Formats: sequence, structure tokens, C-alpha cells
Amino acid sequence: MRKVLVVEDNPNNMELVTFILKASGFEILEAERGIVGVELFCSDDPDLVLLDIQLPDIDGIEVLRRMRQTEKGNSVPIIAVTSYAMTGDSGALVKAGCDGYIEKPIDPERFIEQVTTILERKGRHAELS
Amino acid sequence: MTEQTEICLSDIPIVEKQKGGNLVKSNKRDVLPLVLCIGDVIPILHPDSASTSVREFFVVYVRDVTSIEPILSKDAVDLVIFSSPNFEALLSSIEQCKKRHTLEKIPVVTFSEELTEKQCFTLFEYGVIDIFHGQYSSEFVVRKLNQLVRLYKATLGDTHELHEVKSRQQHLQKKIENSETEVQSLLRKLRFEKLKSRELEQVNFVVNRCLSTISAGNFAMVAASSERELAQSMCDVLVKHAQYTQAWVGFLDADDSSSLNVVAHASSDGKSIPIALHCEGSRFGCHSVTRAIESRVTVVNSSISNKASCEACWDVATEHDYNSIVSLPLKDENRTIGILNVKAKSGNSIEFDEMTMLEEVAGDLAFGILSHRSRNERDRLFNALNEMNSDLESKIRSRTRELELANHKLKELDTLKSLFIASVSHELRTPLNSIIGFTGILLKGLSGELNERQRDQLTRVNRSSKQLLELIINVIDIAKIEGHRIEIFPAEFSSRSVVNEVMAEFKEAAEKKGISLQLKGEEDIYLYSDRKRFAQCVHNLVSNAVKYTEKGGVEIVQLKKGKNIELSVVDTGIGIAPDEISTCFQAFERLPTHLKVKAGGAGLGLYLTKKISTEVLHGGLTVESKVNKGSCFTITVPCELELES
Repeated sequence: MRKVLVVEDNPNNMELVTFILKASGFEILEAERGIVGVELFCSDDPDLVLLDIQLPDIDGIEVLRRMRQTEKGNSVPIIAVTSYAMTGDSGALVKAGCDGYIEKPIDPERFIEQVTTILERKGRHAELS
Repeated sequence: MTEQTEICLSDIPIVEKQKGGNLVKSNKRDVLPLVLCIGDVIPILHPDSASTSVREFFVVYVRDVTSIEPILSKDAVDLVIFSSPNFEALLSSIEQCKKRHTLEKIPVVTFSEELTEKQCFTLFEYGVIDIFHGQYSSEFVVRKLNQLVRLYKATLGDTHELHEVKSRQQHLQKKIENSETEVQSLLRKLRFEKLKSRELEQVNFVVNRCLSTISAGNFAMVAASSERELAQSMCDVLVKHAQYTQAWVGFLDADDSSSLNVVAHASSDGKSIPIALHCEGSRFGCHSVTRAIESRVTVVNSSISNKASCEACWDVATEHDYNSIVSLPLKDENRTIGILNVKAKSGNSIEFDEMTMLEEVAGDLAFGILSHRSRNERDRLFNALNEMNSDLESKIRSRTRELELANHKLKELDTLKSLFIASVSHELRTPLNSIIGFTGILLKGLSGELNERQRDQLTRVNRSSKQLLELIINVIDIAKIEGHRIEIFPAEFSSRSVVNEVMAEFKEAAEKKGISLQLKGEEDIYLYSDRKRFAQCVHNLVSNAVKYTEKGGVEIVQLKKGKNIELSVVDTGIGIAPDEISTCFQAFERLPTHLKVKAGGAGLGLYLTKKISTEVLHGGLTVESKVNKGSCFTITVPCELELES
């Protein structure tokens, strides 16, 4: 069973994402704020992070940076969930340590496939290194 | 007595006797002295006597003194002898003679008996110079008489000489007088010459003064910086150089020609001589000034000494020792602008030459004043122009400031608009994302099985939501591009990957319509550009092509041409009429209205694609089309996007 930390401030999106992930058998850790997300990242050892980039308290990229600064921060895959407006700047996300991104609106048909693809790529990278 | 005389005279043969008893000159008479014997005949002097005396003298006997007149007056008697024996007769005869005649210096002697001494003295007192008596010898008497005659003749001769001297003296006197007249005339001439030379000196002096005045006046003309300064300088020059008692200048008001303002004056003694005299009934307070202004000719009043002419002027002239006033109008072509008034002393009363000089000075002054005025007018216009200029400049500045402010406001508004769009887009998209997401979950059957109708209806909701999202995204992009706020994120990618993504997206739709969708040209072209925007362009073109094509298919052709990539989307659709081609890239333009409902969309796709390909990717979008044959949209962009700094 994989443990997924979902950082998302919008309850509808949270419900949508967690519903799809739960249906696919993932265990869910929910954080509505960036700070809480960073705390849960440290305390609950998630296997995957789905991070909304537009957050009300601190910027998603700052959350990403802080997560990567923790002890095992580099080993956990982090996927950014971005609004369409942000996808152009994917370079900045990658630079900040993001393993991949999924563009909103989330397509339930393809969501699990997108997540799996990123995880597989991350796993292959880990194996290579 | 006359008989006797006649007898006596006739006895003298050499004497011619004239009728009437008067004696006349004879040759003999001229030779012998004429002796007049009054009274008794003297024997020794009688012509009958044998003595020689008769040859010595020419003797005329007369009885008494009454008949001697003709002889005395007609002839020059050289000697008179009174002859009588007794003293009393002698004396009475002398007295009678003296009563009637003047014997002057003719020597008088007596011939008588022997006389007493006292009688002799009496005779001497009567002017007798010698006394003879019968005892004297005839020789003695003759000798004595001769002496007396000689003496008398000598005296007479002296008298002649005296006459001669006198006449010579007179002649000389006359000569002297003539000389004096000549000298007088010469003196007169000299005086005239002197006068003339003094006059010339005076003229010379005046001419020099005039020249000096004109020269100084010219200097003043050049040096003065204002019309008042010029007027003052001219007054000073006229007093200092031309040595007038006073000079003043008055200007006539341009609007009100009835008021005269004195702007400059100078006086020789420094004392202020009154300027505005109060001539009664005079328009400008002084008759000559008024006349000069009104008639526009120079008025000379050189006889103020005449009290009757103007009492007020006379009083002031007397008090300040001048006797002439010259009033010169200062005039331009058709107007009198003022007056130059000059007062002069008797010592330098105004000469004809000076009038010419004064008129010249007045002309210069008028010219100078007018040129100052025109210069002032020009300066005033220039200043006004400058003022207008600076006014305009300040207006421009304020307009610029206003524009800057407006611009600033616009920028603020633009920022607000961007913020608004960003915020609205977020707010619009978030619920749409939920709608799309949850309808997707439902359609996937994750929340339970759906019947056919539910599935169909949920599909419509899902599709409409996606259309709405796309429209919102397009509007936001257009706003960003038009507001130059679009962010460009260049990255390396292959064109093929983009085309594959887009083809995958429309694979289903194409299959559903029964049209082909394929890529021609297998080669891969690598780009360094904004992938998302490039993909957006390809997406929009393929979307349109699929949308408007009912038969045949859509072909994507990619070619590398130099530094650019040429990507064409060719369809076999409805095509675009030539007259619509020019407007197909405009916002909210769509192909024939009847297709609108069927095809759907807001008509922003081509407009946005054109904008992205040109303004974001620095390339271009072109179209070739034939109605009912199909269209070919070609996007040409550089493979390597150069970012503007």
C-alpha cells in the first residue's frame, strides 16, 4: 500500500484527487496548507507527494524546496498539480526539484496513468543512479 | 579943391587923367611910390621944384580929406603927408581923416611950421610917425620919406609873403584835411574789415558749435538705450555743446494728443528754468510750442523782449536771461510725436545756420525716438511671442504630465485588469476543473454504473465544460498577449513530440467523423522555443481543420526551411472565400454564419494563433484556401527563439 500526501487547499479538488487515488488503492494523507504538508512530509513518511502549486499560505515551490531540504527529501517523488497558467514554466518546477507535473483540469481517465508514468520514471532514475 | 587937384594932377604929365577925376594906374605909378599930400603944397615936393624929389615920388595933392576916398580905396597909397602951417589945422585934418578912413599901416607924416615938443607928442599919439618942417633940407626929407616908403613897402612885402605862406598853409591844411578824410575812410574800411573778420570768427564759432553739437548728438543717438535716455542726452548736448540756455523734450501721448509729457530737460545754469509756461489761452501752455505742434513746422520766437507779445514768457525770459525760443516739432510721416524746445541767450541768439542744425537735431531725435519705439514694439512682440512660446511649452509640459498621469493610470488599470483576469481565471477555472473532474469520475463509473441516458447527458456536461475552459483560457491568453504580459518559457523539444500529442488528442474526433489525420514527413525537427505556445498553435490549427472537414482528411506537414520550421495543417474542408481570407485572423470572426452553430467556438482560435505565432514565437501564420476544396494554414517560426532582453 502506497501512502500519498496530497497538498491541496480546494476541498473539491482534494475530494476529486483523493477519490481517484483511493479507488486505485492508495492511502491518503491530506494537507490543506503548505506548512502542514511539510510537517506531514517529515512526520508520516509518505511515498508520494501530490502538491498543488497555488497555495494560500506559502507558495508551492517554497513547500517543494523545504521538503527537499529534509533528511530523506530527495528520495520521495513529488508531483506538482498545476493550473494551466503555470505549466509553461515547467522548467522552474523541475529546477525546484519536482519530478513531474499534472495539468489541471484533472482527467480521471488519465490521472492514475499520469501518476504511474512519473513514478516509473522516478524509479528508473533511482535505479540508474 | 577939385580944381586944384585937377590942376595939380594935370601938372603931372606922366599921369593919365580920367574923367570924373579918378586916378588910374599908369606905368609911372607902378615904378614910383605914391605919396598922398593932404593940405598945403609942400614946396620941395612940388613938381615944379627943381629938386629931385619929383622923380623920387608920385605926389597927389588934395585940399581936404573929403576927396581922398577914391585914391585910398582905388590905389595903394605908400605914404600920407598932412601939410599945414599951424598945428590946429593939422590936427583937425588928421582927426577928420581918421574919422572917415582907415589908413591902416600906411605911414603918416606931417609937414608944418616948427612945433613944440608937446605938439609933437600929440601928433605921435595920433599915429604920426614922423614930423617934418620947413627947415629940413629937401634931400633929408626925400631920404626920410624914401626910408619910410621902403619900410612900408617892406612891411607890405612881408604881408604878401605872409599871404603866400598863409595860402600855402591853407593848401597844406586842405591837403591835410584830404588826407584826414582818406584816413577816415581807411579807418572805416579797417573797421569794416575787422567787423567782417569778427563776423567770420563768429560764423566759424557757430559752425564749430553746430558741428560739435551734431557730432555729440550722433553719439547720443548711438549710445542711448531708451527713448527717454536719448531725449535727455540730446538736451544735455544742446546745453553743453550748443550752449543754449535750456533745452527740453516733451512727448505727445499716442492716444491722447492733448497732453504733453516733459520727459527730459537740461539748463545751462543747472537751475530749473520753468518748462511749462502759462501762456493764457495756449493749448500746451506756451504759444510757440502749441504753434509748432499744430503747424508741424519750426517756430522761432526771437523777440521775447517785446513784453506785449506774451507777458508770461517775457517775465520768465527776463528773469532767466534768455530772449529766444525755438520750438521744433518731432514728427514722423504723418504724426507729431513731441516737441524739442530750445531757449537761447542774447549772446548766442539763434542764427540761420543754427536753425538748420537744430532742425537736423530735431529730425535725428524724432528718428531715434521712433526707432526706439519700433525696437520696443519689436521687443514687446518678441517677448509676447516668447511668453506664448513658454506658455505653449508649459501647456505642453502640463499636457505631457497629464498624459503621463493618464498613462500611469492606464498602466495601473492594465495591472488591475491583469490581476482581475488572473484572479477571475483562477476563480472560473477552479469550479470548472471540479465539474470536469467529477463528471469524468462519474463517466468512468467509479461511483457506480450509469445508464445510457445518464452517460450521454454527463458526456454533454463534460464536453461543454471543456469548451468553456478552452474559451476562458483563450481569452486569458489574448489578454496577456495584448497587454504584453505573457511569459515566455523557452525549452528544447522536438516538433514531432508536439505533433504526436496533438494527433493523439484529435484521433478520436477524427475517427468519429470518418476523416483521416496523419503526419507527412517523418523527420524530426528540434526547436528551442516555448513548447506550450507552439503546441497551442498546432492544437488550434488541427482543431479547426478537424472541425471544418467532413470528407477527406487532415494532413500535418512539417519542413525545415533554413532557420525556420514550416508546419502546415492541410485539410479538405469547406475552404475560405477570397473576400473572407483577409478577415479570418480577426477576433470573433468566423466562417460562414450558418456553420457557426454546428461548429461551435467563439472565433478566437485563429486570432490567438496568429498572435502567438507572431508575437510570442516571432514567426508568422499564412493561409491558402479554396472554397469547398480545402485550406492550408502554415505556421513559420524560428527554430531557435531569441528572447528580447
